[in-house]
Amino acid sequence: MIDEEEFSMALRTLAEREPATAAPTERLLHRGRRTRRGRTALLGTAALGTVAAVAAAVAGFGGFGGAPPGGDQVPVAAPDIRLAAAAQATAQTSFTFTVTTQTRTVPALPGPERRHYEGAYDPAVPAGYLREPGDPRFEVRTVGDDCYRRKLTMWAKKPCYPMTGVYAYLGNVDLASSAEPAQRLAELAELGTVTDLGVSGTGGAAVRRYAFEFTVEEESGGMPDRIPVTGTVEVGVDSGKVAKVVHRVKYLRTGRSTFSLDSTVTWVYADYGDPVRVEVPTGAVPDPTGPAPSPSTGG
Amino acid sequence: MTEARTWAGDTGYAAFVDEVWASHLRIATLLCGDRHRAEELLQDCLVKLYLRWRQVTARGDPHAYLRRMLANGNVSWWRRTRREHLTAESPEVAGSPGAAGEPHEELRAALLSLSRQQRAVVVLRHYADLSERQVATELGLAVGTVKAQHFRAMNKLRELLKASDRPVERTSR
Repeated sequence: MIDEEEFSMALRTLAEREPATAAPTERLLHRGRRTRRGRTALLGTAALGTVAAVAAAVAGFGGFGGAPPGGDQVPVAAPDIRLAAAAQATAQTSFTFTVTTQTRTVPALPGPERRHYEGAYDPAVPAGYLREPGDPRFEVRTVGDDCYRRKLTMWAKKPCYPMTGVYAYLGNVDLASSAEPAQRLAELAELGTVTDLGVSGTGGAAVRRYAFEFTVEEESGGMPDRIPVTGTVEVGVDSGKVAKVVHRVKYLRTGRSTFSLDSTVTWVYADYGDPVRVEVPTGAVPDPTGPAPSPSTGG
Repeated sequence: MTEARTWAGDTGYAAFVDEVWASHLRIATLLCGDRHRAEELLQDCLVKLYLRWRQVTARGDPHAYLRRMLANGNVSWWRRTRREHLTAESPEVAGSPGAAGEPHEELRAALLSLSRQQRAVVVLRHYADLSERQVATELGLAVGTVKAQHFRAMNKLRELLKASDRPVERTSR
């Protein structure tokens, strides 16, 4: 008969039979940095993270490269406070957003090339939602520490542990990562060449545009060695907040790559400061399949 | 881009890894039943933790987050690879070192006979010394589910260890 206290002791004895080994800290740091760079460029879910990268680079952490025709270089020594502030300010207010993904691969992957999502987020609650208007069978919501995921007519509830939003995604679009640029600022600081393209539009529609580009070195099998990422960011002149981000990853089968990809993701933000009302779905039940798919599979 | 550039959070992360490596490797080994697989799982989880370090430390307990990753990761890994291991014997049991009949081997084998979720409940409850409520939180389960899993797991362990005629206390002293 097992006494539980004795069992606990036995378990500790069993575990401690294994000899201790030194922590491979440097190796883990190396893997983490490399993975971070790859994720940053390729996942295409960190809209404001991209802004943060631009902000960080402009703020003097990043590189400095050539300007496209007609563009003005932004000197590293003169950080663009407006852009850095835009990422922070956008993350601290409520907003609505749309995300459009356009992805072509060779060979082709299953699913439509173009997908469109809409959502809203209020970091003060926090509360938000993400849905695909073209496919109403699926939706995710977050209210407080809980995530709700709709599949067909059923709502499942899981903790958004620990509020990384890992359960709040549809397709390749992650709700919460679009709303937390600050934590990605440092991650992306080492990326990027940034160019100030100047102001376009007039009146309330005026935006300051920035172009960014960086290259990701990827070592995973089947991927090219160097993956170029380009894009633009628009910041409202009046609002001081992010209005639009376009993020493009394009590469052809070169080096070790076994396929080609051309992916453009466009985020458009609006309605800053407006209330975001998200209801807890009625009848939501704890997901019977156990823990949320992340952090273990959050990738 | 320079590989050597240091992120602001690296120092804290490195200190955390140094602190928790040994204890979490033991947890991973109990969950996996195999030391090499446990090291692989723990390293994978720590890399993922690195990517979320700022969020996790700002809003949660990195120890708890890592334990949860280990438990989930063990289940996910098994789901991905089980087709390759469809044998009459559990792959972990098959790969376990040590001589059959040794008390610690019987305990190890009994542990590995549990489902992965039951094993996670038992390891977190009895090795990590968490309450049932804490286990439920870490695994994202209802407290009632944890209680039920724990009850079934302990009953099965009692049966197995009783049948082996090796009182468990002999392994603990």
